[in-house]
Amino acid sequence: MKPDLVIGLGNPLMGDDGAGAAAAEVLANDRRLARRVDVISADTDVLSCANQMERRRRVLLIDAVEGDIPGSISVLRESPPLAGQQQHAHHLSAPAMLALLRQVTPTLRDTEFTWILVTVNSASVGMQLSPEVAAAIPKVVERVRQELRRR
Amino acid sequence: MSTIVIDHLARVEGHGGITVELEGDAVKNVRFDVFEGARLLEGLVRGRRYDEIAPIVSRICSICSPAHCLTSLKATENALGVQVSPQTEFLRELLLRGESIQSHALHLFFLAVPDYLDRPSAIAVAAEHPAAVMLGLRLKRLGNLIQETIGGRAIHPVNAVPGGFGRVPTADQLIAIRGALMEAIPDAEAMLDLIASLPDAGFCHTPTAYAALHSPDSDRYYAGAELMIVSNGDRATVPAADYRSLTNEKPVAHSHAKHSTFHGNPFMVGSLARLTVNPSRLTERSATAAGRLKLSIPSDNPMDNNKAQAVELVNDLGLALDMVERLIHDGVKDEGCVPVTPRAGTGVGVTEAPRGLLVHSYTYDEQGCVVAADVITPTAMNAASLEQHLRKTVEQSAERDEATLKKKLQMIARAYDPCISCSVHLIRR
Repeated sequence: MKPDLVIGLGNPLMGDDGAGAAAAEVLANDRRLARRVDVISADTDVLSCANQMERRRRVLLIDAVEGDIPGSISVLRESPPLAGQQQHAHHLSAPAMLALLRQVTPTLRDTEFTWILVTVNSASVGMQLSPEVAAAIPKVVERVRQELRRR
Repeated sequence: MSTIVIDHLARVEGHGGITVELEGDAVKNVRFDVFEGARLLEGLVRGRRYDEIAPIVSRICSICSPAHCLTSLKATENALGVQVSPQTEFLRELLLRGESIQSHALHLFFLAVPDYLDRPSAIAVAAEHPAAVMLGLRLKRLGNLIQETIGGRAIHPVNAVPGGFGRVPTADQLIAIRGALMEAIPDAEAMLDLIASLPDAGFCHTPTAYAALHSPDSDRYYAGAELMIVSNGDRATVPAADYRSLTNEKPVAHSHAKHSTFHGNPFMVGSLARLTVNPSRLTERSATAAGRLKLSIPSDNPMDNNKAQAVELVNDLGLALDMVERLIHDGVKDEGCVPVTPRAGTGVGVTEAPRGLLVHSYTYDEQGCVVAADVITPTAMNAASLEQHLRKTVEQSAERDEATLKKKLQMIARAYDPCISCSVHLIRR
């Protein structure tokens, strides 16, 4: 088996949507973590990570979620619920892409997926996180470390 | 007056969709509403150094990141008077082939096919046709493998830099790509079988103008300095540096995407346009594929863009294999990058992204910092043409019930493979 994998999701050009990528960048620069965890940034294309996800016991995905209290963090052991209708013309949502991959890739069915979600209330063009979400990034990083310590 | 509203075509800040106003059976108004973030992203690069631009703009879209990166580099190098080596141009072309393979596989299998099979999503298709979805995933992985090998990452290439490549692929990496491409030959056949088996979708027919990068002697996504528009059999060319005389962008009240018209007429960009503008693209392998799909060029049916993507997918796989064979045979030199010296100037880069013409233009000051930028994406160029086809779809529909019209309108919009939802992807509760 390969080491655990952390995937940062979101577009850093779209303000708080880039929260997952910002947290992943911090984790990727942590030398102690580098020996036992792989960290990548996948932007908005979970399908592009299909190769990297295989043969992992555990994959953690850090993503932004729309909500009322920016900066709050939640952890889901199951994927966020999917809408019945595919709502987006251009691509699938991150949870939908993961569901699709797991549906047709037997080797991913035993992998444990955990979502670390950072609540944001807007995502507009800009390379800065809002103060609330920026302040939450160290807590997100610590939460990811906690998850990685969990056996 | 009745109104048909589809407001789930895009998720960029919740804006984007289709509105059709009907008076009896007559179509009074059609709007394709777009709030396209890319136009606002231009402000993000102002004041930045020339070597910071490509990594930023490649983030505009995760699917089209190589195209944004390389188009940006092309514009920057033109502005700074940098001439890259033939090997660099060749590797950049191969990188764009990889992008096209993964992008077309994504669109055809996961976005277009569910419409034809009357299923709400790719996940629903996977439940009934898992082999088809696995086929699409294999092709997408192959495109991502090419991107990762040449660009350094599966998305957002880091190897492509001003003046060349930071690191060139090794012989072992190229041999691995060659093996994967050879394994994909039966997948290409299976893909054609699948697309050929889909129900006919000929519910919109109207003469259409097409625009693409013109490459008279070769099939290129990256090279080429001339734009060509084909309309009613007439061909007109425009130097790439003079792209504004093709796009003639004008703001419209209902959309953040300006509308592009040439001599007052909308035009379509993308796969179908490329096949129309560059008949030489129809090599023996792609001509055979077009025949199997009953795709005739020029087409008056925008739904044929899906078939054109399938033809290009076959073509891209074959050309990528040829290119990798050549690199293995000739060897790849670790030649380093052409030195870049900052200077004031303006440069334009135009390439063929999977969805069509992509333009980047930058003006630099003497320190090599951006003072002005312009990015025009294929979806913006297609906006006026799409509205025209949406109108024709309603006018030509014998069925007038809302559900049928909505389905047809969404299929037309998806056939354009619009890239309006890729800049942000919040999970909405």
